[in-house]
Amino acid sequence: MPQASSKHIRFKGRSFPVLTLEPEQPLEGWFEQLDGLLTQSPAFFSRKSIVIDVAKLTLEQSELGELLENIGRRGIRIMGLSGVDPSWACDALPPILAGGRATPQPPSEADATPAKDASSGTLTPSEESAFKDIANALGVSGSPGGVASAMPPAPSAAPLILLEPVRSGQSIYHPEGDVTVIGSVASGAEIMAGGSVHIYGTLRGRAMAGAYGEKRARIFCRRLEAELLSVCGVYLTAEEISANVQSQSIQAWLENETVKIARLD
Amino acid sequence: MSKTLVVTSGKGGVGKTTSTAALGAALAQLGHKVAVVDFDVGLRNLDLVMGAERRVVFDLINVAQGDAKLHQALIRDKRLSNLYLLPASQTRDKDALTEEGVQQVIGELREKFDWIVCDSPAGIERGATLAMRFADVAVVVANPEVSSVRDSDRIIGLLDAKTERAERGERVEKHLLLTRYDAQRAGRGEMLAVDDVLEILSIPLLGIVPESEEVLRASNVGSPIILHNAMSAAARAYMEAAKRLCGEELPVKIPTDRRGLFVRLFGRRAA
Repeated sequence: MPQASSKHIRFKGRSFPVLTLEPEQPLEGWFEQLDGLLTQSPAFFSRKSIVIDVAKLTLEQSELGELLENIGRRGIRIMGLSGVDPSWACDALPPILAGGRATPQPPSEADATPAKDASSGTLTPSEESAFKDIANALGVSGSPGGVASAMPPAPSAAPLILLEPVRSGQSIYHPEGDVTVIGSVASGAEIMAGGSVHIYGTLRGRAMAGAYGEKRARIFCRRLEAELLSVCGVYLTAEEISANVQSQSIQAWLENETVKIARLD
Repeated sequence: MSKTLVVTSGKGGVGKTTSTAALGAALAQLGHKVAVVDFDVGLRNLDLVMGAERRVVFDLINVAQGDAKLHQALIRDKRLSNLYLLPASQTRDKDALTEEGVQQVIGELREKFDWIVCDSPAGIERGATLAMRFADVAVVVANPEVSSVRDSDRIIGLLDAKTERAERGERVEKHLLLTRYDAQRAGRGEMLAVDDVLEILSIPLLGIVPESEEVLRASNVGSPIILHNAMSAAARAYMEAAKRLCGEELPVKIPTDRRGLFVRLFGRRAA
């Protein structure tokens, strides 16, 4: 039998620079300008991963699908969505991203319209100028070319607080802060947090803290019946969790590359 | 005001169709005008349980596609004059259902009926999501065992996300109906306890229907248990559940093992 080099598969968060496109209302006009630019440099978006930021739009869920379809039809590959209520996450939509920030601008570029620049090591000068063209033509004022940060999440990241039980099949993903659930997490549900996970109920599903490599993250729950616990990519399955912490209120943390569990009372 | 109720569960074989027939008949006996709708396109059963299988001409798909008028497809129950059945098609599959078609049929039914009781197919695919799509109220049917409870939990999540009400930012009223509850096995700890199920699913309990041969017999003769044997424990449980759906406040009794007591008193001598 082939032996794996390490006992566990590790999964860790990592951030990558990404081009963000910010559609603006009225959308008809915005698409017109986008089309105009695509005829000028048709290959600009090809084979790039693009994140669509809709924070500035007031969209219904159905309109969002239409918008994405319209963008996709122009050959733009959408790898994620930003500025969307995380509860909208579903199979029909691209993954929802949160916590993106514009790349810091070099001082020389910090003029009246610094955000129109997409200066980043990942763009060639020609792409950079093409991007400037697009930004100018679209008349965006915010940070459209914001290349999402490649830095670790800010420590002051906002927590996600859920007041309802998390149901089987639901997946809660909060990359930059703590997740608190006032209720139980069902078998077959999962919580992934960049920070710690707090569950004021029974944890029957999976909880992953420190999904972005934060080693100080912990998991707390009122009653442990979990299918899987993971801190910073190191995990324990239900079988590996010792019986004397089963059905107890516990905390779990990372110590010497292993997950430790201790009762809280 | 018309209410659309979906009877759903995720898992198959827990008693959705039996419960749809029983709740539909109970609501009709309470004086409401009721339509029970079979959404299990391709595997229809509600017509059999309602004893109407020999009178099916048109079905849900025909009405949804405009091939038949609603009144042509509705089958009036022979025992209760205010109870109607809209059967499913057996020859088509669930892809024949469209959201627009279902919306239009439900809209028409809402004009004519007080309660529209939709019998959902098992699973979480098209048939099940369309059955719950326009619901105001959901009855989640579960058996006291882990696989059924987990599937129900998944369904509750979908009710909170995929229904028209949820998308409007409103809530679907959700109730738990525990069926096939075996007091003897519960007494021996072979089933999940009622409290555990309620703790896991955290939705209000509508009723507990005991496992009984009477229910099976009623299905086989094509009669909702409510009409087949109104005095049976299952029929009384369904009737009370229907009253609770109408807003009556009745305490839910956990069925106890009466035979167990009998055996305990007299069985030892025989053994």
